[in-house]
Amino acid sequence: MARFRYMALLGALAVAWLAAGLPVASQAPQGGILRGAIKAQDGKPLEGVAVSARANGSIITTSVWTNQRGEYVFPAMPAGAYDVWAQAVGFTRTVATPKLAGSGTVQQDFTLPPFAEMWRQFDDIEWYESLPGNTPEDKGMEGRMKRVIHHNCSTQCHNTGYLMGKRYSRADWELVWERMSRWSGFRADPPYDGEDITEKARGAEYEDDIPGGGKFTDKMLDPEGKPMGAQRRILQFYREDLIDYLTRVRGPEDYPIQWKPLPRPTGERASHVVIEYHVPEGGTIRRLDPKTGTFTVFNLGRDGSTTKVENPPFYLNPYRDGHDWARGGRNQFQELGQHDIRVGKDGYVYLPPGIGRDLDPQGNVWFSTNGAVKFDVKAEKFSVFPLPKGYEGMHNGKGIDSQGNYWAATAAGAYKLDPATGTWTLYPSVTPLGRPYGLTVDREDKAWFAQISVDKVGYVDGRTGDVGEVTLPPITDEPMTEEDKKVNRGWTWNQPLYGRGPRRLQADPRGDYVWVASHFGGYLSKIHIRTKQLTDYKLPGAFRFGSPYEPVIDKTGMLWLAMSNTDHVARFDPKTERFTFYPLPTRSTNARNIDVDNTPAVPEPWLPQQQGGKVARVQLRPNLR
Amino acid sequence: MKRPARPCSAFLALTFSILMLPIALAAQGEGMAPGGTPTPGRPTTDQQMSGEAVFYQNCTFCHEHDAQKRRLVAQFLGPTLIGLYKAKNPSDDVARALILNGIPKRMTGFRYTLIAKEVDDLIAYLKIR
Repeated sequence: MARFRYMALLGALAVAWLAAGLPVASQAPQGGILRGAIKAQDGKPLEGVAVSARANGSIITTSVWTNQRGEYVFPAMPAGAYDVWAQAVGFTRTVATPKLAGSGTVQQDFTLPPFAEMWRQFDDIEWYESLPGNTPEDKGMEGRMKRVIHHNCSTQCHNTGYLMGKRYSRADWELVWERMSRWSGFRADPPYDGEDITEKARGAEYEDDIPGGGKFTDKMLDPEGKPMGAQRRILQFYREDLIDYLTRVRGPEDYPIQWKPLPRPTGERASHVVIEYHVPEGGTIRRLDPKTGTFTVFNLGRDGSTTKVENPPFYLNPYRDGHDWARGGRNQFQELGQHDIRVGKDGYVYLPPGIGRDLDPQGNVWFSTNGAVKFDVKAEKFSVFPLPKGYEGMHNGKGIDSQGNYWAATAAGAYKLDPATGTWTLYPSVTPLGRPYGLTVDREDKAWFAQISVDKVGYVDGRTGDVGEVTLPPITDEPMTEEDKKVNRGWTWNQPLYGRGPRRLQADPRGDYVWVASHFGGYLSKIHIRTKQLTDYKLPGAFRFGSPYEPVIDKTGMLWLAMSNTDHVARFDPKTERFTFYPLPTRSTNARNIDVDNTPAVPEPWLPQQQGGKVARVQLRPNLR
Repeated sequence: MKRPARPCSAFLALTFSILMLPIALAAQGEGMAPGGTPTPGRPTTDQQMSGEAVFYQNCTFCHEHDAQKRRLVAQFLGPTLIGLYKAKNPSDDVARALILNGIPKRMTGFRYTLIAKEVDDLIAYLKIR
């Protein structure tokens, strides 16, 4: 009941904010200390429990984790009445409402009752780990169907837990397959962005092209007589196995799934602080002032004008933000999500729309999928650089070189825009139809782009115009049938079991490597920007299938990695070649992109949550304990 | 957790008629965006908020529309259900039957997925959507 009373309180607050349009409270660094201890009903201390606090009327939630003695301590927080909740998988989320004074310490202890249906609280990789790997559909290849689901049904429109949390009859799983294969079956590149799709792209949408070039020799037509396309071919190949497996494991009959929660975090992995800011509604670009916790929204008008909104409206439904893990997973279309982020050079954090962004040497924010848009951070105005008529749009990766040129991935390779002249130049990729996705520019002005459908990383030397590519080896360390090995490649959301799917990449602005996250195969790789030498690092244990998304390198040379199929952020030390995975306090975040604030002595990664309606700031405090 | 009892199939004819409500009924929803596009009503009670979350977890693929969906999967889209209860006021039993049983080859049934409270919350939300 406490949970529901708390929900009611939050809900009433959300409504009050909406009705009154009041500015949200800010959070200053000075204040009181909240601490306490957490134990199970048997009296034993619980380590690695997430404890979160949100002041009444605030959009900011601060979270910490308990140590080996079950103790937690928050950084100083402003005076006020708080909602504080503690939760861990297998335990009932428990809420308290302490009041903090302007200074001094408040002790708030918790005793957590058990929670029987722990799967409702699961992270996506806990679902993945728990799925059976030796069913008849696995055909003697341990974990085959888990990986088929990971490579085809957990590719970030929704993740593993969202799908597997549902149970349907066989007929209904067949219906789900039909709709998903239709949704996924269209060719994902050239772009498909609704009203903005170009006529050229529209005409090519249903071509039956092979990723990497050429046409399929065996025509496969859908019920409407259109070529199926690369993605639906994969789903067609796995149709019977998928429907049999889903009906077996998540059908009307109970299947004896052996639930496998991750071990709770300990030591260094439980010593961080996460501060989450709810994101307001609407706007072309949203700007957060981390010092005050307030947002400003800027809108780009159809006439090119800019309007500014201070204290924009928020829509907060506490059942939809993932702070209560037992509410289950969500999908990316469900929430007021945020895909991209850039920590500005001016102390603000920018949340641009769409997919792909970068800062120019002056700190201005660039983005857009159809042409380029610059947001001048000092003048607070947008400038639009449209693509010439007939040019295909672009997708995903954007980057700015040292000369201020704007680079963007497109179906055929990479565009360069010279903002001074408005001239666009296309540099075709060596391998065609490789689905260029993420893009980054290294410190020698080479633009690198991940070709997700052919496991290659292309590049353009911005100083010479030379193009080339680096090939990533296929996945061979996971069991698969001979037929699995012969399945053709997909474009984006469907991949064969041997596909790596390099998705996002970032150049080290101070170093000689481009870092590449292979989304499907679970690899982090580095490529030397001059020798092109490739070095692979496989993600360890359960995190292998956490879907690494975008890396970023901080000023100390440490790499941070957003992961979309788990509520963790990874840190990779290139010197020790060791990964550390820090939990995030929100369930079903689907955090994809990442940036890092290098201003503090210890850099702080920032992650937008595609499904949580929040952005998260991660602070390490290794000396606290 | 307790799952809801399977409802009487006698409601199915009625539920089918509700699902087939023309999308034009959506114009009677709680709000209107610029250009005349209806927007969903927003919850004001705890139960409606919970129901909105259930809706967005389970119903949006077919019951929320955008240009991309209309182009790619138009044949799968159901009505937006905006203003459903203003246009036609189905009983809770009718709504529950539709949610739990679905419609063969058109809508999945949620009797194995949703618990009774989630169905109640969803219906409370649909009443103000």
